[in-house]
Amino acid sequence: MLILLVDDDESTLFVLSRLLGSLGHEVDSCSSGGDALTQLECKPYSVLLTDLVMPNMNGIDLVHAAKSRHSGIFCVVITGHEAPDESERGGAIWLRKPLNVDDLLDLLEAPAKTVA
Amino acid sequence: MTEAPLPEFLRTFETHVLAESASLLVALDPIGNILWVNRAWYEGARQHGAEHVSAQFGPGSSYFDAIAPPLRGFFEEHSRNALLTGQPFEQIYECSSDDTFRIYRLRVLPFGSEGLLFEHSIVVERPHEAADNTVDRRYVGPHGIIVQCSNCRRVRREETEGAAWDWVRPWGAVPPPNTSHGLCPVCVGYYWGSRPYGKHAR
Repeated sequence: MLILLVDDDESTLFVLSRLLGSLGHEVDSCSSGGDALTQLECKPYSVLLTDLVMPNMNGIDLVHAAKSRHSGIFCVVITGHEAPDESERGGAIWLRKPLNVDDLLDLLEAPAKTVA
Repeated sequence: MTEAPLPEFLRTFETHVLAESASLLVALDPIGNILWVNRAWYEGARQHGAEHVSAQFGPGSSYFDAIAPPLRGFFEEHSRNALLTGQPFEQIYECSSDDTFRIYRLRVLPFGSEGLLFEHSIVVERPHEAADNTVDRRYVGPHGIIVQCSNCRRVRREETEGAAWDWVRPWGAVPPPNTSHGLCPVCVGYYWGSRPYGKHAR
């Protein structure tokens, strides 16, 4: 599955890229929402996995922008903050940091089935 | 809650001395199974908001199963040594809650090869100093963002360019809204390094 990872923390990008890559996913990464929007135009990503608090553009704004251009993209926001009400989640799934790897992998099974 | 009978090796004590002790007492068999706990054990768990833990780890369960992996090995090893040598061991540790700062002294008393008595006694107990909720600028990055390790909750001190990660007490439970959660170098190395250990290892 083609996944775009977005996080301003290099360690998180490193860890998640390595983990998802080792499971056979093709993973690209960006450190900002602006870069992510540019990257989304380059490949048909199935999943956008983004941090919430980032400079210039936060994860929610990125999800809104991504979905307005690619309505079928599966979006996941990963954050250490409490999830807001469902109406404020922008249609994204929320996962808490520190990430429970099994939760993430379970979540990725849904778009995998759609792609397959 | 039904009280388990005092193990034979503790019969040298008057029962009420142990049962009514303000220290948290736990008697273990030689392989670490809990044989008996006193009332203070349950009361201590209640004060720490951990009734579920005392319910799960009462008589009949393994004491060491209640201890996180890195510390578990430490306590198992020292308990074995205490049984083998007949020498007690002691340990000072902090076990604070959101409201209260607490220091305990643990004394582990071996009784021949029959078992051990763990005695946790409070040394210091006081309210935390008033929390300073103003944001310390040393932790705010150039974009106005604070970086907190999502695993250990330490906060990156920006002036050191990532060399220092500090525990900033008020932010452990509730970080400021402009906090981005990443991973500190120690947690990356320990949990996700080339030979990963700990709970994230797969």
